Amino acid sequence: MRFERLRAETLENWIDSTSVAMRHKRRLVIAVSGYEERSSYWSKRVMRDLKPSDTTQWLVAGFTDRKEDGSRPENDRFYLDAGLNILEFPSDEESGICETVSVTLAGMLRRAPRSDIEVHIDYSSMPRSWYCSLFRKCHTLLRQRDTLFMWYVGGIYDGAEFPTAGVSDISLFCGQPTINPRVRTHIFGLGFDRIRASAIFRVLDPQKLVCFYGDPGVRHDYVDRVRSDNRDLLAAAQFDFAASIGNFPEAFSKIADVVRDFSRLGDVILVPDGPKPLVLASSLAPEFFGRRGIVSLHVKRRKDHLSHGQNIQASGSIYGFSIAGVESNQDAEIQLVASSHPSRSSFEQSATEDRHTV
Amino acid sequence: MESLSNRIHGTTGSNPFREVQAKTFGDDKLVTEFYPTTSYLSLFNEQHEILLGSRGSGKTAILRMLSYSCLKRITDSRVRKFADQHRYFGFYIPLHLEFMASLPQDSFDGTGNTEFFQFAFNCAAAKAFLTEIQTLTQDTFKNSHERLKREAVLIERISAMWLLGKASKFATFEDIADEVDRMYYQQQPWKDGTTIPIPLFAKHLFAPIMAVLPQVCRELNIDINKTHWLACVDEAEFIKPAYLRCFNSFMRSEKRPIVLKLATQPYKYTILDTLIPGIVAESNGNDFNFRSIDLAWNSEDFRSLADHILDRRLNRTGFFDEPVRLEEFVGKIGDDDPKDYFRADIGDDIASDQWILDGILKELSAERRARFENIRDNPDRVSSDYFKKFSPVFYMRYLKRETAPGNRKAGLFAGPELIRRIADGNPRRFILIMHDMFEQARASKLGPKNQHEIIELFAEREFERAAGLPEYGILLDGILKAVGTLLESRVHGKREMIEAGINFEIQPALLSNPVVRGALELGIGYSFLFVDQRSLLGRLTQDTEFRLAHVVAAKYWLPMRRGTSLVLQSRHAKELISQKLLNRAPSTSKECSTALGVLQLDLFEQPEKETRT
Repeated sequence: MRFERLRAETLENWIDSTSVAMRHKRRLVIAVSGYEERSSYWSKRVMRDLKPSDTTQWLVAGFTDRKEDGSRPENDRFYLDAGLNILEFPSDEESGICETVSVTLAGMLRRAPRSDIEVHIDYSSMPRSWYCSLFRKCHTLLRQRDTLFMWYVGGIYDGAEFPTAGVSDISLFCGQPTINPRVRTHIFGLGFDRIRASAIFRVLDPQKLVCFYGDPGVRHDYVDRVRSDNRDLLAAAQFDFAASIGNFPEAFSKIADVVRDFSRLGDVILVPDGPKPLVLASSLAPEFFGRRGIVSLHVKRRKDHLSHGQNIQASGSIYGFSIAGVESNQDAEIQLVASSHPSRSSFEQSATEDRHTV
Repeated sequence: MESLSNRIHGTTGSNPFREVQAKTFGDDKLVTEFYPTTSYLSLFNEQHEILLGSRGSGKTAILRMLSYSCLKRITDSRVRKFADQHRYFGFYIPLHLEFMASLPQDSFDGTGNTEFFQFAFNCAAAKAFLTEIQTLTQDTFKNSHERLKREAVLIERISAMWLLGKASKFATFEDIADEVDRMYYQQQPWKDGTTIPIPLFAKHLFAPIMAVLPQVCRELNIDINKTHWLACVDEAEFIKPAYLRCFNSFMRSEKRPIVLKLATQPYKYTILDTLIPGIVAESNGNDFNFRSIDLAWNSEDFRSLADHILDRRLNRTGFFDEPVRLEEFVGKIGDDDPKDYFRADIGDDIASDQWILDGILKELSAERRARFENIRDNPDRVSSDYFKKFSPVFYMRYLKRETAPGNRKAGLFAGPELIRRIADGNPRRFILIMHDMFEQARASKLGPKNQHEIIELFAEREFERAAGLPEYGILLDGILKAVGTLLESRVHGKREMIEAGINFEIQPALLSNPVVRGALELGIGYSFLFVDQRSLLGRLTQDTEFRLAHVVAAKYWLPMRRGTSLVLQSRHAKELISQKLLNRAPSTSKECSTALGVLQLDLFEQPEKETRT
């Protein structure tokens, strides 16, 4: 899969540089009204410049559950006051939101085939199955002249407790393993989910382990916290490395480099966790390489029925990146694929393309 | 207490106990470090077997060592016998989680996709089989011309059978393996009952191998009627229940000369149904056997295995030319009995048997002290009823109390026997302990006090890991803490000393709660709990006697012995416990403490009737 025009973005620079061209572009803005306070942080910052209009379409998604938790009522009110409806989807199922986005995007492409399109996704409060699948979906549907923006608002995680995991929660997100590989290297992303990371570690029982974490973190003390929380895994790792959450292309390149190195020995299994930009980067690495033996696993987050959803506050930092679409046929009729997972044959096809760029 | 560990004092370099998993080893290293236990040697038979072993018990090492490539390199005479007979040819098939996760998942348990699973599994099995055939061919025909000729015939025969119409394309076994790979990756998953594009590979398990075995045997001058081909399937805990039916069908339908040796964790082989409704595979030797490969901490097998691993690893450091046993490396005091370490700690001149007995009597109830007067003149009764029964409790109470202020260290958890106890027969746990011992020995002398400190820290760390175990880990952690704290209060909390240990039973109503059962089974699977062989191979029942792992006992300073019979009970009515309370596994510690708070677990010396609703 090609990763072209991949670059880091800051919200201020993007707003400054695009204000003149605002009217000439079509935009689809995808946000979430969730129980986290930060769910509406980015939207509040950009709403003045990206008001819903003929050229700028907003799509706000809400979870069907936990509607009274945390900041959900305030977030709903903000979006409703802005005249936006909230489309509801189950938080543990990505197909609904992906299909809605596909249909919306296809409509935009059909209505304005000559216009450049920008898709902006604020994935700060999305479950990983949503934002990883939405990235793949939009990246595939958008044409090379279009641009996909992914925005992430750093969060304050104080005292957050995360649920454990089991074999049944683990699924293959991207890539295909080989049969009976000689060597397997697991690359674990680390975050505050100590119990969960440990559970996954115990299930997978890695042969060779490499760990990574976000550094610099959203707050300076987060790095020490992650290292301390995950000391067992770090002690078991062959080596560990840090990746910046503020610079997605750099983080992606760093992860991809490690994947490439270890893929010479055998299979590489990425187990993304930690800050969302790093989860996204590591989830997509198999797609970038497009060959057998590099896979990313996703671990479903269990619902804790006793406590409310963690009301994560915005740290104030917004990290973004943009990337060009991959659809090469400019006038192609958009194929709507309901499933967010590529078929085995389409994966094989992408494997043979071997046209990687970062 | 002199020990060979002094020899590494002040040295640097890598710790030879860093690697803990057999799957990270190359064949050479695996063969060098492998110790053939009795259970390994007994696997050379023609019975399908499901090998049950806790995490780190050596399942992977055993299965890999059954494969022909590894078996042929072993020098141990007990194994060479099997290798030289050329009656058993093993091939190793690991089923990794990501491989299993890559299979289509139309349903949670795999129903509807069994044909595709069989196809995928057969591809994996075929590749493993080819690897061994290649080695076998090289070993059988030393003359290169003859070997090339036979290889060509084998390649043609196998490819003609497996890859119809493409036989002429392959020059090596690797070519066929690559083609199997290609076939697997190009095959779109299909649902059961729809068209089967690859007839042979989509048939029952091992169908492709069965199809070529007669010809392979003929070309390799092997009498097929006198050989057994051991299909060693590893990491079967990741197999979905519906796929287990494929294995049951295979075992039920008698497919010798292929003999299945499938390794999984206890309680993970959940169903015995076959693919034919109403037909089940029967254990106890009819269709297959369940076998435990876990070792008892005090077995001769574990003692030899531990010494063997230690010797080979230390040998790599270059500091030891002679064979090294655990006794020699860490040293021991006296007969390596807890009493020896206690006396060394208190001072031999002070802690005489009489001093210990006086100490015991002082801490017993007035009633017991009075009873003692009746047997005072009977040394045998004094020894059995007082000294042996209470001294392990006394040592723990005394030293914990003495060292509680923190101004001195205890030296009780020390010595080779204690290390084997803490490892609890688990090779991986033993290696982890030795890793820490090795580090300590490099920094300072490995005396009893330092060993005790290492064991305490190890126990603390190992215990912490329970919460991080998958699925029911948090509940297991909660249960272990509850039981540990209750036992601790029996040993240390009371003014009067009572007989105590680490064994207990569990109230039937609690056992019938699937979530509690899940947590207990997980504890057994990860060596935090131990049960009798019958309960391990079958299921947990009201007769099952549980034992806390010694590593948990060390954390709570509990005597590592059976103790009085105790029952872990909830105070609620059994209907509530089995059906309403705790109907899902807690996924956070907050949820868990709420759930356990509701259950109100307690230990009772006699089963107590439910008193509350």
